[in-house]
Amino acid sequence: MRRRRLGLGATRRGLMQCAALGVGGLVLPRLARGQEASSRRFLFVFCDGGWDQSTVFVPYADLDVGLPLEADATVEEIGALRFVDSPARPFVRSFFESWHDRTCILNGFEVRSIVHERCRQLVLTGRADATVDDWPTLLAAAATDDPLLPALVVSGPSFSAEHGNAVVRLGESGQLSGLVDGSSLAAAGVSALTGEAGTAVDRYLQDRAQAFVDAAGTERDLRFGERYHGALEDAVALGELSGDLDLSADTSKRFVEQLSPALDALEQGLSRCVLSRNLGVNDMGYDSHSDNAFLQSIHQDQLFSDLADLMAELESRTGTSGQPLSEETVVVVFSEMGRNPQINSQDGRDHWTWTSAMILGSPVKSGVVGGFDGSVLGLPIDLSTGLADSDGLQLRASHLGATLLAMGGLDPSELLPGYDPVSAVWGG
Amino acid sequence: MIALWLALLGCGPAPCGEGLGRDNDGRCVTLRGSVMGDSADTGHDEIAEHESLPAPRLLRRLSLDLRGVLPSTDELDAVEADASLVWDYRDGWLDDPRLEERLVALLAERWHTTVDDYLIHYFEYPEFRDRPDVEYTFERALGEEPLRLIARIVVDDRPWTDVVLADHSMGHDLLAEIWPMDYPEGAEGWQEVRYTDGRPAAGVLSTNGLWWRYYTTDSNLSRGRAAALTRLLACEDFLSRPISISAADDGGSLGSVLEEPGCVSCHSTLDPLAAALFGFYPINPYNGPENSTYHLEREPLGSELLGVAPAWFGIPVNGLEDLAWQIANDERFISCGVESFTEAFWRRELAHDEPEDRARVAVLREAFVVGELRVRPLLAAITDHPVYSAGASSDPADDTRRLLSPDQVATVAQDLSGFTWEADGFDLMRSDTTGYRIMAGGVDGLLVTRAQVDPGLTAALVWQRVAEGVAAGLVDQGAVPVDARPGDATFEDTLEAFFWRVMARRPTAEETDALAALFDEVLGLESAEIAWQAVLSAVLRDPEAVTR
Repeated sequence: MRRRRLGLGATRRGLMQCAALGVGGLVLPRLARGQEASSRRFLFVFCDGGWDQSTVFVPYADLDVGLPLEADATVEEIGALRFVDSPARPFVRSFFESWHDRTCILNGFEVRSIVHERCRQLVLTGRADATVDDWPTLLAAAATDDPLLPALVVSGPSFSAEHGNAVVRLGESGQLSGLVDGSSLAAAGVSALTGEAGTAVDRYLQDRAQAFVDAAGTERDLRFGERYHGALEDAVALGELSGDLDLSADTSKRFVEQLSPALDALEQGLSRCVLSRNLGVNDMGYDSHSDNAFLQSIHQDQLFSDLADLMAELESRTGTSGQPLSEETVVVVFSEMGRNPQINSQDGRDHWTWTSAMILGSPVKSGVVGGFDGSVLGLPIDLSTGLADSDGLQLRASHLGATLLAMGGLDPSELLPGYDPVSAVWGG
Repeated sequence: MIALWLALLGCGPAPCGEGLGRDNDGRCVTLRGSVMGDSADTGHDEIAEHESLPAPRLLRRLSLDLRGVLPSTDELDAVEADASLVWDYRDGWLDDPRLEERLVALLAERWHTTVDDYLIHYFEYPEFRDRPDVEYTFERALGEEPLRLIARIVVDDRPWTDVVLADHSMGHDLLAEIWPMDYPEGAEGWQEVRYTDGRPAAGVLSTNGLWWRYYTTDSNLSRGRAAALTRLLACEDFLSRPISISAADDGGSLGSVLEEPGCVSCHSTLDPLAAALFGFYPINPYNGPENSTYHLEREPLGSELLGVAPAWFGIPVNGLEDLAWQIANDERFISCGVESFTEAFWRRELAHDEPEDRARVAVLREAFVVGELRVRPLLAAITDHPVYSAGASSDPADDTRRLLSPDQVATVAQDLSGFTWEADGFDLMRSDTTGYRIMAGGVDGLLVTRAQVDPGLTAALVWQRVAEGVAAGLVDQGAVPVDARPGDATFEDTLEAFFWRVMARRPTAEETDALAALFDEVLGLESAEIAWQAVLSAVLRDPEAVTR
């Protein structure tokens, strides 16, 4: 039996207790419909570069922003969703037509920086200093079923500290596959140890690791030894699975095809979290300091096309509970920042601290939570209704984090003191 | 030696060893990381906090940190016989030519310039358009330029202020094809160069490499570059301070940053600094030639576009050279140098709100100043400190079990057997698009900005494959007696010597037996060569082998 990879630290115990208790019973009863929060899986789609919140999520026509609006664009409603529609983006409309009942748009939270690198940290951790674990890592570290690839990073950023060992990178070119089967050594003209010889070495090292743990005289050595041991066991287990799990990656393929190894991992219960970077059409990224309207439009149309494929794929696969994988998985689509409403001299839009995210999945209540004012600043909201409330709270990236952690059965009050989840996302 | 090691692992009481004593709780303790028992006053009041590594393991840590290779068995033997020699070796290794490469790797973790992806790609230069084989060299050469300059200043024993005052840079022959520099004709690799486009002499501030990594746009107006400078040179990280665009702003324009109270505290520093950097301001950040040269005529643009006069933390400056002088004379620049090298070698972040850390930095800073701002004496003081040499510590912030960095794994592997891992011109241990740098726990400077501290799955797999490659190389080179078998003296001697070399610890009889059993097991399945590959790779993957 594999050992848990998270060691004996107090934080680990805290995470596990939180997960087991389902946030003290506070949010679990509402969240638990259909899927136990502590076993819920997450797929993060990170739109790299800073998307324009006004392309789809925030109808500036509603806000009286005093800016010229996109030609041919209209404000449409499908179910509880209100969004910007355009004939230039047919996949946006078709996506919402198919999936509006599982879509929540979270508008008007602030990442509190306008620098890409720090915004990535902020939107994924709530902090600018990269000294804490990001949301996928925290959720993965608290997984109760001890997945083999807890936080699988297909591509994109990853910030970890205490639970860095929960993060497994696939490699942008699918390097993990070659490491597992040993073919990576071909580049060096060397043959890896395989078969029973390799197994003998693995067994020897596991004994060594156990001896190291048993002899550890310090907390540091104990933690190191346990995590080393866990990593060895995971490597062996992954090797045994390699025939059933295609870990190769091909960045020339369509987005959903690139995600195929990760979807396999989610389906087989091997991962709790997956994170993948989306760079839009031709991998240009969303950082549209020039020609903003055109670039954001083609990127987001492509994104929604990809998301439609992704949701269909999740629907077609069966999760570990026997339900469709879509019932077990929350899809979080986000970017590191938004874009300034003002158009710059290059017809571009510069960086903006306020942005939007989209949360898709079975526990999600369809609709729009939060909003913007006429200056495109986030409105304070009542966290339980999601409606503007002058006595409410201004949303930060940490509120997004608290919401996701709560949806995953963790107690945000312990991990993100001062930030409550936006319970309106799942219906208050 | 073994008794001491066992004691440290909690396997029962043992003599503390030469130079060590017991504190009131019965723990072995040392001062100054000096297993030699040199209790000279070092200004540290931490006797009860740190237990030093045994001398050979400390020698190993020093060798890996300063040279990137394992100590030789001769060096280990010498220190085993006389622990005080650790410091003689350390002093010698501070003069080792390999220190320069180590510094480049260490600096990359903090300067974040060795990324895999820049705004400008090699193929945008006509010279390289049909040469995809230059991609990796191109990327590393430009990213390493500022790091190479700093490293060269260190090993040349020049003062830290040269980091911003040097009148030259370091240039690579590949970059010399496209950048205006007086690269020596017929030379190869890294050479001291001067740019020929009339740019001011300002050390790293005058390097293309720094500004290609920290690019700017016509909306950012070099503010991001200014923030990078304050983080790297003054340890003032403005970007860690959260900002908020509030309703008080003028309709959401960031142009109000010098008036809005929430912005002014940072931008009153950043904007004047940004204004001093406009000789590197590109009209088109994606154009190679445009970004290759300095634009003297654009220097005044900074004040014009930002509406402020150039300054360094409130002190007016007149051009880049003057900025460099102000930085060099700033106390923050000196302290930041001390802190950044301390964090790099102690493998932990300093807590500025902790009096103990502040006191430590003060002592080290004093050593730096006394050493005329030369980094090598500072490195001696940093490695003298008990935090550096600790194998155990009562402070959980100390990392007493430090993972080998991907760069160290690569240099150890190359030194042991000549093993290198490359594909299509890419050094796979030092890149990520097709390589394993961040998978092995490293930093790419963009998507991962903090080195991994604990082993994970992908790091374990990378170590495995490197170990197998090294082991195969050693067998191929005839470094092991393939005809020897467990029980033969040759077999035992070879195994014990290899264990000693890799771990800096003599194997116990049980450990030797276990390895011999592994050899026999594999020999029953495969050839003797494969059996040796299995045994050697197992030693190289040991928990003690992948840490320092």
